[in-house]
Amino acid sequence: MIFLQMALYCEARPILQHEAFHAMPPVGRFQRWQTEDMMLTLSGTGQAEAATCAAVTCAMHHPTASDLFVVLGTCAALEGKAEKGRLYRARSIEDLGSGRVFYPDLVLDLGLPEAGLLSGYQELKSQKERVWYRDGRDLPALYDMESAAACAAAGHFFGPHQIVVLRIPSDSGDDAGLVTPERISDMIGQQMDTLDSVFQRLKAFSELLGQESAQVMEEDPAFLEQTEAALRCSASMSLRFRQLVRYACSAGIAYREILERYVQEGLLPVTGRKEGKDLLAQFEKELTR
Amino acid sequence: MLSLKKNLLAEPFSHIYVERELVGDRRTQEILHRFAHARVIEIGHYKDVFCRPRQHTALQHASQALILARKTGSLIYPGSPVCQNFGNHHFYYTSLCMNCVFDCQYCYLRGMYPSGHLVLFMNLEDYIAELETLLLEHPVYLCISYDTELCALENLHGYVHAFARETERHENLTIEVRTKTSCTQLLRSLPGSSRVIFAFTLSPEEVIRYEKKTPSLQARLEAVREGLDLGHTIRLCFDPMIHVPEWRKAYSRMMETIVKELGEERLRHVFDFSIGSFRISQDYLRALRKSTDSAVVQYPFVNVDGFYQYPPETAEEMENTMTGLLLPYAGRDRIFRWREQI
Repeated sequence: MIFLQMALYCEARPILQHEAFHAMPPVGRFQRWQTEDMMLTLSGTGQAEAATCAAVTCAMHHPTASDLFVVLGTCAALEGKAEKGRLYRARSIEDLGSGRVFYPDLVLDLGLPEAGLLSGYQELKSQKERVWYRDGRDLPALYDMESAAACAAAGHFFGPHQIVVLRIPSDSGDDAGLVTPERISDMIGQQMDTLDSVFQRLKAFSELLGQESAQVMEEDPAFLEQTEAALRCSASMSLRFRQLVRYACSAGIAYREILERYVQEGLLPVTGRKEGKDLLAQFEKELTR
Repeated sequence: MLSLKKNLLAEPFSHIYVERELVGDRRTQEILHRFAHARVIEIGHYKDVFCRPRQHTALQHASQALILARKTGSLIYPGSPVCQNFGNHHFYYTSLCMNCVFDCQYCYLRGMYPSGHLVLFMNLEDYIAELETLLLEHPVYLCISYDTELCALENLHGYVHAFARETERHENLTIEVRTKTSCTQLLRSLPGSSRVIFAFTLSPEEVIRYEKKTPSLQARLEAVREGLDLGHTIRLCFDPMIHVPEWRKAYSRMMETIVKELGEERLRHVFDFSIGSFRISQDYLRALRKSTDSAVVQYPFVNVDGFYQYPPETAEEMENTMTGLLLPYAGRDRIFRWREQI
């Protein structure tokens, strides 16, 4: 699942129209929409709203190793280096309140230009004199009021490779008053082809993460418990048995055949703990010879 | 899945993180010039990136970023009890780099570090200064390539050359350069020295398949042969020995290849041999087992004093077998076994 968090409805509108989302019941004041593999939530503007929204989403849905958290929306461009209307991926998000910098992992190649993102607590025009950009002098620098807190909250649930921050500069702070909801929708709408390709890559990456985590094999718990009972396992014997099974699975050893033979030969179930220990030792020997 | 991975992941070293205070540093700039297309990200401290919680080390290994940093605090450490000391009392190691460009499934680094990205420490002068202080007290035997693979990146940092120069300046310094590379260019560029030991880790191909991105046995042996012919001091390490199916045959076939490629005469000129079966601290194994379901890691090891290893009789048999394979070509005094030093 891709958890997409945006601040404003006018930002989300082109995506909602494009991706065939259906509305879900809101949680508190957070409106939500969903497709088969994406959930879009509107946080409202500001760090507190962004953090609360991210925390609520994560706490409700218990993200797994294959899920992704994506912050998407418009922002202000700093120092004139960022191109208005273009989609950027933030490679660093600096919280202007605490000075803490969050670095999303960039192992996933999205094919987007990158930018440094400053995330503050006031509108840019009122604190522009405080802003000085530190990450790479030739880099486009952006400013928003949500990403730092959203990443901080999501960071409790997701790894840095699962968090992606995407921003489209809509103004330079000074001209923010000229930016209407219609203009923001247009701006996002014009990036829909790029966003579509980004979403495809995010979905493929999510699939890859799922495959990677599925490599950690789990045997049928009922079968394990049954066999442990037949072996009269103590807690430490159970741990040993489960490790042997895991080894056998990863080494491609048909361990069930060995256990079935024990049953046919009348060795399993055992009559006492000592016998169980001896049989477990024999099982280990057969697996590792 | 491999092609999916390849298509989605960023190229290795496509991003280079640089600690802010190193931005103007000459050596840092030289490295950055070598990666003209890399995106450079200034950071405050390498741990801001390297020590983030919940990182995916396996994916990071496939798409490694380079982090250029300054190491502070102690820079040279006494060797761990699980390291082979080859009879050297003043046995030390140093970490000029964290992580490795290779990706061995059984490697303790996967359990030791929270990240798969590669950190290169740029303050070589501080390392040398600390080494010189130690050398004033006693001779030093220093392993410079323990928690990494320095030879693979020598073109980038030149640290093997730098420490080799230190052995020329200090008679009481011996360095060991552990490697799985086929580093023939490096060997050609350095004069042979009795105090610069190139320690090649050799494994059967059945084990090398668990050592992603490493050169084949054949390629490593070509480098060993060239190193011996050039007069370098060469150590052959069969450490860690890995329990794979039919391991006796695998190690026996490997020995046949070694004899065929090097010849008995060259084997007589190998400085010494190191043998050790796989062992790892319990904390590292716990983390390692979470990162992979590889059979070499999921083996039911036994815990002896906080270190997981093969059951004693298995480890003994593996190491005895390897010793037996070597004895026709090397005296017992040239074969070091980890188990015998503890």
